[in-house]
Amino acid sequence: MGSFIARRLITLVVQVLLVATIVFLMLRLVPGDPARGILGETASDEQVASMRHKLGIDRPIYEQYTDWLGDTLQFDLGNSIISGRSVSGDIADRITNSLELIIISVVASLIIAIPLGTIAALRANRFTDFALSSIAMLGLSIPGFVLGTIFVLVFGLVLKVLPQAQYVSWTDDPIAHMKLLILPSATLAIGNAAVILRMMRSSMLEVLRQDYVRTARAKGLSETSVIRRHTVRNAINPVVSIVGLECSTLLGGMVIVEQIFNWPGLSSLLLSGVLSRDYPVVQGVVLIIAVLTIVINVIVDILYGVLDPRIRLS
Amino acid sequence: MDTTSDTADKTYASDQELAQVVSDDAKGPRKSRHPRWATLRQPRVGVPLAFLVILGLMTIAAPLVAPHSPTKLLGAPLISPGSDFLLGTDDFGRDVLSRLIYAGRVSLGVSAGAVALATLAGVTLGLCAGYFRGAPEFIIMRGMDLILSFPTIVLAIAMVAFLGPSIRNLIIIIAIIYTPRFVRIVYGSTLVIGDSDFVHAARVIGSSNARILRTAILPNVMAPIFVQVSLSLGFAILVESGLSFLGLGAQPPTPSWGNMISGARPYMELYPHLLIFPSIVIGITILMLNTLGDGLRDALDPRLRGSR
Repeated sequence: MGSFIARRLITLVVQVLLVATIVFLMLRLVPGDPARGILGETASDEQVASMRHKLGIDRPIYEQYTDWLGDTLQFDLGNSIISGRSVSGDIADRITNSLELIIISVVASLIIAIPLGTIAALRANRFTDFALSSIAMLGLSIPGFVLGTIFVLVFGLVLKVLPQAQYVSWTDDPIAHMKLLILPSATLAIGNAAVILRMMRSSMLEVLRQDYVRTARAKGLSETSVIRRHTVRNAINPVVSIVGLECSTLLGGMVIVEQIFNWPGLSSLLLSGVLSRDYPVVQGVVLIIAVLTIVINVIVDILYGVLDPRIRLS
Repeated sequence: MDTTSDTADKTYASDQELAQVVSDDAKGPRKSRHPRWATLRQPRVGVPLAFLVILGLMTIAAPLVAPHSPTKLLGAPLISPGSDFLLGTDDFGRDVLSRLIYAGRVSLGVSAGAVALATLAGVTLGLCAGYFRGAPEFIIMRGMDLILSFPTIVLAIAMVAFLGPSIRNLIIIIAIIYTPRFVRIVYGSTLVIGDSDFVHAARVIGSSNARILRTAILPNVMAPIFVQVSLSLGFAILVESGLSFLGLGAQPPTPSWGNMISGARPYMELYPHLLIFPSIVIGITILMLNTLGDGLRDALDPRLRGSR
């Protein structure tokens, strides 16, 4: 187990380094001069030179690269060109809000999808299965931004059951804070739950065909015990690996959902950075989200190894 | 009656005539029973395919189908759906139905272009990685892993930030994002098929690598590619409309399904038709693409039935 975790951690470090390199290269691949891009055509040569200095692109590329890696590893992601504030500081202020949203969505989608996927598999090709699979397909097909916007319209504006108002922090009023979280996390959870439900269903169907399930039934175990201890336990493993992959989709969906619900997470930082061509901010947020994705996947991999010894030995 | 002995016994005037008879024999009965046509007759494949073909034709023929111009200010703003304007008008007094049809050009065009590029690149890279192994395999597969370590939308947003929003850039960006999926699928199948007897046989009789890849391997990896094209088109529409929704895709006044929805947000409480119609169109289009993908997969490879 120790060497399995160690191997995963080494790939983690390599992946993070490579991702940091790609994010570094992004600014250098801008067609034309990024400094002139920010300032516009009318800027004087001195202004452009000073912007190039601010962006750190006025030095030889290997020097830029080593500095960027060194700074990044110390969590120094530079300063915003517009506000002058530290990018890592701005990220630190918002990342907990984003993580809160992600974690609640993942937990909610697992709680919804695993039992429903199991039921769909047990009722395979009957009405219940057909209904659940159709709902899952629908959930898979409606984009998050459509669903979120419709939620705002229906629950916020027409039914007026949920607060549409300002952000309230956890420390000020925990109940109001949780209420604010319901719609955005439901939007994210529905798409994710649809994927997990489908995966759980097919994984259950696969396991139900196995010989050991027949053996368990043949030796007279109750159906509940066969399902709970022999089938679901084994069917859940591939679902765990999908959850890791889905986190990448969730982190992407989060950007759009935060925007719809005015949730003060990483998204507003990223999008305002994109619109004002504040390249250090964009690089910082993209790097953080990519690193989060990698870290989540490693955690899921390790969890997968804990749950299923066959994985860590291969 | 044994047809093969029949053709073998008879003497033919020329090799050409013989070739004609043999190829007729091979084609004749297969035409009607070819599994691909049977696939199309399944409702889960036929219905979405018919829908998508009609949708595609409508967007191609947009100037003929759309009742009005998508960008002209035609009447009073925010008219509810009715006789003059079937789906009403938007906040600038533009016809919603015409805008929806023209928006399909952007949304479907960008997605189709991007997926076509991604398929081309992905199949080529996947075949090379799986067939040649060694250094190309390492470089290609690790490169794809790198692209996959960024969340799709976030990578797209970052690339728009650095390259700028334009239709051409959108196609390129979405193509880059979806190439790894094709590479992985083709790579996996190529690994298996590349080691089969008929590929070894082709090599033994002196076929070139290019010929082996084209005639022996490619036809055998096509089925999962069809499935992936269908699913990727759905995802590509999702990304395109998502970016347009955030203001990073098609720029106004060019209509796209995503920017029609974001444009509807300020008015949605009083004029929900602005939100509802584009939502339905996006939802149904993606639903049809997903259903088609599922149906194709079940039809082409029953072992994968029900999995993602």
